[in-house]
Amino acid sequence: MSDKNIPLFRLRDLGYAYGSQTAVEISALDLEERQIHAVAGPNGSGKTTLLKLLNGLLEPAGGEILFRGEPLDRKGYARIRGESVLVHQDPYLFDGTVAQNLAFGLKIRKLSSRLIRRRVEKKLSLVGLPGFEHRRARALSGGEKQRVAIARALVLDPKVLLLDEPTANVDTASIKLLERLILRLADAGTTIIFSSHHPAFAYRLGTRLVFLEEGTVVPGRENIFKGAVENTDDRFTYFQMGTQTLRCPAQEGRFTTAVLPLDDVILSQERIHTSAQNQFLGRVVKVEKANHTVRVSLDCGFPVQALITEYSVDTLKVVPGEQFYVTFKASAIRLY
Amino acid sequence: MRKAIGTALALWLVAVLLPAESGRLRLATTTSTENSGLLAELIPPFEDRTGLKVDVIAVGTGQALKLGETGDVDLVLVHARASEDAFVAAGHGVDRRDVMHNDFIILGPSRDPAGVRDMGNATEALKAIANRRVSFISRGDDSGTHKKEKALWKQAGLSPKGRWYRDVGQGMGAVITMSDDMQAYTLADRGTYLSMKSKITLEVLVESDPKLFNPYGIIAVNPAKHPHVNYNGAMRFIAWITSPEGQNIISAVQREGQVLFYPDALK
Amino acid sequence: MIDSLVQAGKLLVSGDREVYYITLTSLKFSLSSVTIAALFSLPLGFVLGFRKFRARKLVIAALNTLMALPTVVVGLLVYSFLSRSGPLGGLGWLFRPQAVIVGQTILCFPIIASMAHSALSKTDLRLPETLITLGASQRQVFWMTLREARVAIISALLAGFGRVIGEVGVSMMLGGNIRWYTRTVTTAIALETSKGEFELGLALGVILLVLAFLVNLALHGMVRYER
Repeated sequence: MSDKNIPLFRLRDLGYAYGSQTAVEISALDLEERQIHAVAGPNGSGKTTLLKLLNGLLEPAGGEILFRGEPLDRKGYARIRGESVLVHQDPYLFDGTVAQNLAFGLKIRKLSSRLIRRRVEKKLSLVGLPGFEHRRARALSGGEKQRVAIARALVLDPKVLLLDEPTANVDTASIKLLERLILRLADAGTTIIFSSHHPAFAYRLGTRLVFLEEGTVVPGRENIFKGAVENTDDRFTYFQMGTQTLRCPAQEGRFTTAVLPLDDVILSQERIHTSAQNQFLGRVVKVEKANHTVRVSLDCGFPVQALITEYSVDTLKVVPGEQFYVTFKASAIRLY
Repeated sequence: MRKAIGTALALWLVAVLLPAESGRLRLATTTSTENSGLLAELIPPFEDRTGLKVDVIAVGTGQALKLGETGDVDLVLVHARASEDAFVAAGHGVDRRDVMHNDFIILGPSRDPAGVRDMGNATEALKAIANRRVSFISRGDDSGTHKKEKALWKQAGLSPKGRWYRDVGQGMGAVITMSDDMQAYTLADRGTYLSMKSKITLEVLVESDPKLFNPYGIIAVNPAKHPHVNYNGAMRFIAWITSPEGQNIISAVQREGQVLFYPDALK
Repeated sequence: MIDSLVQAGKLLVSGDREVYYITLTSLKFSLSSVTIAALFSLPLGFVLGFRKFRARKLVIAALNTLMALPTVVVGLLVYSFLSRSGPLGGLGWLFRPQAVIVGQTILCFPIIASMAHSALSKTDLRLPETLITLGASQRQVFWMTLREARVAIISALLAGFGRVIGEVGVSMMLGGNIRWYTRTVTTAIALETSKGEFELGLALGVILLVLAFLVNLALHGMVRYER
C-alpha cells in the first residue's frame, strides 16, 4: 500500500480548551506531506494551539489526530519526536552558546562530538549564521535568535517542521532569509507547517492554506494562484501559471502568488465584453452549497472558484460538466 | 559530578537508616529521676560490664508506664506506687522491685502567708493553703510528683479549685521557677529543688512527713505479653540496681551536700 | 539575653563533646529527612505543576492542610504506627534515628512539594515544550526544568529544612531524647527548659540558629557556584 495516499496528518473532531475557553474545534482537516502548509488567521484563532497539538505538546480534549495513519496519543508521541520539531514564536534558547543550543538534541541522541560539530556548522550556514557557534545565544537579535532556534530544529533533520509565527519578532531582512530557507527546505522534501497572522507571508509561501477563525477551520474566500511574473508594462503585470496568464495591476516585484477573492469571479454562459481584463473558459467541476451561497469550482486550465447566489445557480443551471466563462477584473488580483 | 553526589547521598541514607539494633536495653523513667543525675552514675558501670547499651527515655510517669504497656521499652523505673501496682496487676510488667526512696517537700515564699512553716504535716499545710487561697502551682502532668500531690489533696479531703490553684502542665524545674517568680507554694521533689536552690528564694516549709515519702520501683516489661522485649537485659539491670554495689552508688549521689536517694532494695 | 549569647559562644568554643554530638544529630536527622522528602516531593511538585489530572486540586488542598499539622500530632500519628503495639512495630524503629527521620520527612514533605509546585508552575512553559520537541525524555525534562527553577527549589528545600531543624514534637515523641543517641539540639532545649535551665536553653537555641544560618549559606553558595 502506497504511503502517498495517507495524509501526513488527519484530524477528526479535534477539540482543545484552555479551562472553559475552547481554543480549537476542528471537525476535519487533512495535511499532506511535502507541502508548505500555512495556517492563517487572526490572533487568538487557535493557530498556536493547533501547532502544539500536531507536535504532541498538548493532549487533545476530544477527537483524534492520525500521524501517517496511526493515532497520535501518549504512545504515538515517541514516533513524532523523531520526525517533527516545533519552533516557538519567541523561541526559548538555552543559556549558553549557539553551538550548545544546537547540540542539545544531538547530545540526547548520543551522537559523537565530531558529527555534532559538523552538523552544527552545516545548519548554521543553512540559516545564514555561519561562524556563530561561540556567540552567546541569548545575546543575539530577534531575527538571529529565530534562526538559531530553527537551526536547532534542523540539526535533527526532521521530516516535519512546525514554525509558530516565524515572522513575528523578526526584521524584514530576516524575513526574506526565512522565505528562502523555507523554500529550500520544502524543495528538499521537508513538510513545513507554519502559522502567521500576516496574510502576505502566508500567501507567498504556503502551497496549502488553512484558515482558522475562533478555533475552527473556515473555507478560504480567496483563490490562490502560484506562478511567476512573465512581463510587466505600463498597463499590466502579466502573471503566468502554466499555460495561462493573468492580467494584474502593473507593479514591480518578483511575485510568486496571485490572490483573487471568490466574490470577484463572474460566471456567464456566453462571452461578455466588459472592462474586466481576464476571461477564461472553464468547465464546472464541483458545486457546493453553504448558507445561501454556492461555491463553484471550475477548471480553466487552472483551478478557480467562484461564490455565487443560489438564484444564479438555478437560473444559469450551474452543474458539473457545464461550461461557463469565468471573468474577473485585473484590479481584483493582489500579488505577493 | 551529579552521579557522585547521588551515590554519596544514597550511601549516607543507607548508613543512617539501616544499622541493625544490637544489644540495646530501653529504660523508661521520669524526668526528675533522669535530671537527678542518678542514672548517669548507675549506667556506665553496667554498660561496661555487660556490653549492653542502655537507652534512657525520660518522660512523664504516665507516659513511661504507657511505653511499658505498649512494649516500646524493656524496663520502667518510676515513683508512683499505686500506678505501678496497677501496671503489674494488669499483666504489663513482672518482677517489680523496690529500688530507693526520696522525699517530697512543700516549697513556699519565705514570708509564708499560709503559715505552714514547720507544720511537719503535709495535709494540714495544704488545708491551710486552700483556706487562705494562697497561690499554689501544680505540675498538672500526671507525673509522679503530680500523682503524689493529688493523693495528698484527696487525703486532706479537698479538691482544689479557683484562681489561686494553677495547673500548669510543666516539668519540675519550670514549675519551681514559676513558683519562685510568683512567690507561690508548690510540691517538689527534693532532688530538683536542691539542684535549683541557689537560684531561687523559695524555702522548704514542710518536710519529713511520712506522707511525703516517695518510693521508686523498677519493673520489667512482661515478655509473655511482648515477646520481643529484652527481658534478659532487663533482669540483669534490675539485678544490678538492687545489688549491694548498685545500691551503694545510689546512696553516694549527692547535691548541695545532701543525699538525694535512700536505697531500699536490700531491706 | 546577652548572657545567653555569651554562654552560647562559650559552649561552641569549649568543644563540649555533648554539644557537638547533639548538633550533629540534629543535622543528621534533618538533612536525611529533607533529602528523602525531596525525592518524593520534587517529582510530585513537577507533576502538579505540569500535568492536568482530576485529583490535582484535591492533592494541593491536602498538602496545604498537612502543613498546618502540629509536630506533636505528626509525632503521635507516626508513634501509633511504629509502636510495638502498632502495625509497623515489627520494624523496631521507635526510639531510633529511623523513627525521627520518618516523622520529620512527613513534616517537611508537604512544604517542599507545595513550594516546588509553585516554583515550577511559574517557570517559562516554553522550556519544557522546547525540551520535549527536541526529543528529551520525561526524566531529562524534569531535571532541566528543576535546574531552571533551582533558586526557588532551593528555597523550598530550605523551608522544609527550617521546619524540621527546629521542631521538637516529632523528635521527642519518636526519638525519646536518648542521650548520646537520639538527643538533638531541640530536645535538649526542651529538657534544659523543663529543668529550669533557661539560659542554657537559650544558648542552645542560639547554636541552632547559627546552624540553620550556615546551612542556608551553604545551599545558596552551591547555587552560585553552579553558574
